[in-house]
Amino acid sequence: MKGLNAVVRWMIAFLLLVIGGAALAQGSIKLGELNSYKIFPAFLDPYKKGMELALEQTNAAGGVFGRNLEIVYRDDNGNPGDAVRAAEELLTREQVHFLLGTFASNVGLAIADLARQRKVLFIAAEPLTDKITWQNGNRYTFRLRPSTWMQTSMLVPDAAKLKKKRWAIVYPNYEYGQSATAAFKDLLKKSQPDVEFVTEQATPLGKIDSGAVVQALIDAKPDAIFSSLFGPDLSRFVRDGNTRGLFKNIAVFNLLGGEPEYLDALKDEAPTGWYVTGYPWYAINTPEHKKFLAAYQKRWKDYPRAGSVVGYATVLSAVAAMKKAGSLDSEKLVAAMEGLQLESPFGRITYRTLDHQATMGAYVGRTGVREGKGVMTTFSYGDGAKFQPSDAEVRKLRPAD
Amino acid sequence: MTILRVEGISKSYSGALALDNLSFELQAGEIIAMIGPNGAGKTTCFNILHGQLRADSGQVFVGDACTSRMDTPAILRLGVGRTFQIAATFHSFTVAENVQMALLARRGLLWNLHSQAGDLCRKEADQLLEQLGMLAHAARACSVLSYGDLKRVELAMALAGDPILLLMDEPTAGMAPRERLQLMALVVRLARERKLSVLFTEHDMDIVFAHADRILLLEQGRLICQGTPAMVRADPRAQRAYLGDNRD
Amino acid sequence: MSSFVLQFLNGLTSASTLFMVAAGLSLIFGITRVLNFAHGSMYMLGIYLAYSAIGAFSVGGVLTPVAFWGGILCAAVLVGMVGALVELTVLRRVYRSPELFQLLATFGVVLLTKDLVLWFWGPEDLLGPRAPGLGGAVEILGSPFPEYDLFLIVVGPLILGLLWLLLHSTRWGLLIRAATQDREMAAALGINQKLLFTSTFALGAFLAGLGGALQIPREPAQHFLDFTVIVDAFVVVVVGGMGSIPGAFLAALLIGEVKALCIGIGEIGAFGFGISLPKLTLVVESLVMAAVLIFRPWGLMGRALAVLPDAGEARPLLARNTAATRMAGVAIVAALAITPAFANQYSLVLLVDILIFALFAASLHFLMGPSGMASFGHAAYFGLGAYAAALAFKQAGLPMEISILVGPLVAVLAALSFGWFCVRLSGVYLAMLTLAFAQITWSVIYQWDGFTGGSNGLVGVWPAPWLSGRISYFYLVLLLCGGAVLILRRIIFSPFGYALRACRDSPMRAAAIGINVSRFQWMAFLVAGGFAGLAGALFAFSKGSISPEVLAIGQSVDGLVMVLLGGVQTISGPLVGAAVFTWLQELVARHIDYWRALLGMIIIVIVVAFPHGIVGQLFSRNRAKE
Repeated sequence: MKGLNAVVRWMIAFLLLVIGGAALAQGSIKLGELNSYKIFPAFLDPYKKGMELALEQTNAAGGVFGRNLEIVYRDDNGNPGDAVRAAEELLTREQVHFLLGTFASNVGLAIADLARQRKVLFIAAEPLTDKITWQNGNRYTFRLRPSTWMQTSMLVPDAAKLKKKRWAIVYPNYEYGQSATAAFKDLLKKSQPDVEFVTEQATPLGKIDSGAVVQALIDAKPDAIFSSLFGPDLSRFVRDGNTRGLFKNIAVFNLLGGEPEYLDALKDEAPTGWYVTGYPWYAINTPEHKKFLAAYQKRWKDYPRAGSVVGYATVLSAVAAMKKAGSLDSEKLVAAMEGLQLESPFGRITYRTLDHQATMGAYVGRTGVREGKGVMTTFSYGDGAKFQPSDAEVRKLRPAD
Repeated sequence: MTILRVEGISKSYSGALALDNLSFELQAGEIIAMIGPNGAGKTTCFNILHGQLRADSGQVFVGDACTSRMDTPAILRLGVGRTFQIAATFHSFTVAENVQMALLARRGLLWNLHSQAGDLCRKEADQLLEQLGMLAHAARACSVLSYGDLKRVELAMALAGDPILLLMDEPTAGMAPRERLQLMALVVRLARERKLSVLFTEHDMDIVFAHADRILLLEQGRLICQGTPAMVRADPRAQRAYLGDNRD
Repeated sequence: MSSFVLQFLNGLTSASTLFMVAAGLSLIFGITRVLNFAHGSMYMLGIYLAYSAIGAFSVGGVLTPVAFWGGILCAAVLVGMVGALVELTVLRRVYRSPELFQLLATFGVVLLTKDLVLWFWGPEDLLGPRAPGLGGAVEILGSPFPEYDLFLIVVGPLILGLLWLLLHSTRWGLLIRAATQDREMAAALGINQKLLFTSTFALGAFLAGLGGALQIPREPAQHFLDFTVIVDAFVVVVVGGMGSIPGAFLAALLIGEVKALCIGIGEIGAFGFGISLPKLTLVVESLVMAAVLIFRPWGLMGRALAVLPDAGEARPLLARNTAATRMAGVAIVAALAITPAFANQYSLVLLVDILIFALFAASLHFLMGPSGMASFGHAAYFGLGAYAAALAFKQAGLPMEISILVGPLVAVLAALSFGWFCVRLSGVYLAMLTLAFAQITWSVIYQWDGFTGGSNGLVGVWPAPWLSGRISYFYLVLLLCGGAVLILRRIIFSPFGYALRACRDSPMRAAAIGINVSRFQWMAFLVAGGFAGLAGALFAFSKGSISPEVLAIGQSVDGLVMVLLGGVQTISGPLVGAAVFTWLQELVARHIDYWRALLGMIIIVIVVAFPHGIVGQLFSRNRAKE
């Protein structure tokens, strides 16, 4: 029992130490950042690194309004209930000026609604759901990353060009996969009315039964496949598909498949010739990106992932908004965010006044294997401004403020 | 007056016959022992009488009512109480609470969500405990009682239902010899006072012959002989079947 | 036809995989009666360790068969050692605790392992190499089929056979079987129980580790594996019959094949309705489990036995209110009531969470404690209460004040329908059936995008203006949760509550004095479900949004942890447990990155220091003094 007491004492001392540490840092401008760091670490570790890089650059350049910028990080446990509590803590105890972050769509939507209720600015960095800017859009919420609909529509021109008739679809069975599938079917039908969807496989997120799914796709004899799988599901799908010869002579489109987060895990088994959206950091030659890449590699001794760019651009957006507003008042910040323009590693982006969606795009191209690693071989930048429904459609979807 | 009439009940478990056309009667105030080797069908018979099992055929009457298709609560309402081979009490309750529980159940007060159960029927419970010599233990937890005392609590719970017929499955099993005699004497005294009929099973022949008015001898689900202790003692079938090689 | 055969083979592959994890879990439960929540973590450790071991053995980066198979074996052995270590350091100390308490200890291990793995192996998914010599495919009926999958199809039955041999032709196996049948008897015969338990844990963990390591060519090592695997493993064990290893095999086969068939058949149409069978894979395990348990209450090959560990153990008396406890209660409520005067706004937010979870835990305790029915799916009522309130508010346009009442109402209806099936079962089987119902409910809400908002949930569920301030909402929650907890307490001491405890203590005696046991237990579901629903409705309006997490397994597990942490045998335990757990989680998560590891460690320390739960321990100390 003696040893036990020592452990307890040690733990209490430790807790006190951390609590004390957190009480430091005064007089700075505080932003609250929430994310599911422990649930989606593969994406959010690089994301946080991107944020810190931008933060350090901002402060090195004199901060905002001559004050130091500070980001208070909170883990939302991947759960909207905990996320709302953490956000309340950031707003009331930490007195942050506005909120950033979130990854999962349900968490993003919950925080967006909290932002509306508490009347504070929220820059949703990662969530892909279309609803956050459309059906559930609100005055206080802006979103950086290209939405499911935008990324899906970037793949459609290539898909339509192939004139394949029989399409099979596989998607993770939740809102992201469902929306991507619905958008894809809808858009492809418009440009190719005779298209036929021969099978749809909805797989439980993180639990794909890849053998059976691949077999079912083989049996459906499709000409092409549209997949929105990612992460471990994608790895299993690719490996089983390779072994069973599913991808022979079939065109495959995979949303997000070119992001290093997902492509790198496949190593030399990465598929070749797939059509994907992603982030070919090794081959983007624009000056903005080169600058970012050099700074990132210097700071972290690691290459950036898609999340790094998002984290970096989120902080830049926040800084630009504060500078444009010239104030930390929520209403002025919101006004500044509407139509805000800034330089991101992907070039100039704009937060649309219409639906608060940023025009940051994604790279669309085809995959290949180089030196035992999956890469995007040919690609082009899909500018987010161009892949949008008509303004009238968006107005119909988005409720008035 | 006939309290219990069993007419030709049979019961089999997946082919094996546990009770084979068993019939007997029990008169008011009578104390009857049912004996027989293990597996003779005594517990099965009790379970049928108390509604926990259905007989495959045959009928049971308590008074004038046919109970063959009744469930336990209905049979209880007719005044049939029961104790178990291994004393079953509620071990997270005090002794008094156990008896109160039985009284509350008897009076249909269990759906009450509001009153404090510990205050209800306390007086009656104490009276019953006094009759059984357990009043001094009223506030103790059942989990700390000696086995003999548990048996008394169980008996008090059975009596709380105001039975006219008490079914006791090996009332003295697992007790020290002295305790056995005391407990059985108590049962008999209470039964005589309350004009109760008792049907009990027992392996201890001293107790059976000392207290039973009549004895039923079962073997392999069949009633092979019945009568007063003296008659059974004299019956050669009984001697052969049971008494002769009784090593229990 | 060929596709049918191939899908059948796919089913066999996943059955083999499932069986390997489930076998170890079943073995551990059979002997120690511990529901080992950390079994999935052992599986995850197995796959990570195999990844590293194979890498380390591949000298110069060349993958040889020796490196591959040696790595897998090495990983499994290491995991076995970890299992033994967990048994020796933690579980050994809590065998005598109240039922299910060991589950709490293993939950701590789960949290700890999760962060250790993240810290050691980093965040990225690690896809292992293909098996040398088995990396390709063979033609079966004109379609390529992976050789490694065929290998796995053989390995499952092989392990079943080896286990059978081990159990039936070694002395150790004899002891194991004796202990599975009757632990006390085995102890009385002088079997060294400590050694037996440790070796069982080691073997169980070894099997889990092996199951994980063998998956290395098929799936990437990643952080979710522990949770996805543990639920499936539990389902297999329960469907097969707890402690029965052939049963586990049969269950794995059933589930594997049903899943493969769902995927293989695809869409079916009948009577103008189209049903997408692949979508069912989300809940196929739960559907199979519910179907099996409804018809076979002890699983496919299980036997009727007292399944809950120490179900017959003497439970302490419930202390009635004394002047002192009454005073303490009044003081706590009074202190809470004046909090808004001095505390900051965030304390109120946190207190609202604590109060709501306290009611949730109290309602779960009503089932687990006085009624003796553990529920692993209590989040169903919490979540349905939340969703019903939110939907009444958003879709039906009812005022918020009315919507809050719709929550418990719907939860009661759900509790009545689920409870009707559940009360026919007992012990872990009952608990797992509640989990099955909760999972089925979850999947309906998760998929019904048009009505429930699907996986995104519903937003804009805010209180009426007069209640929308943090202070006014705090008072509403204090009033409703405080009142509900008092009512629950009152019910526990009422004749109804006594009858429930009677049914728990001795169903046989309860029936003999005229209590209709299953009807009372059914009504216990009603009470517990209703109050959980109220907590859920309050939760929805406190957050302004609601998503399927509120009725997912995680929420049910949180409830269990709260109740066990506080002490299942006391009435105030769950309240304390909810407060401590919520507060700790908030505090720890705020201050360190590896907060799950710290929280896990704290839970383990609490488990070892308070083997009867926090409040339970204080009470038993008091009693000891008296």
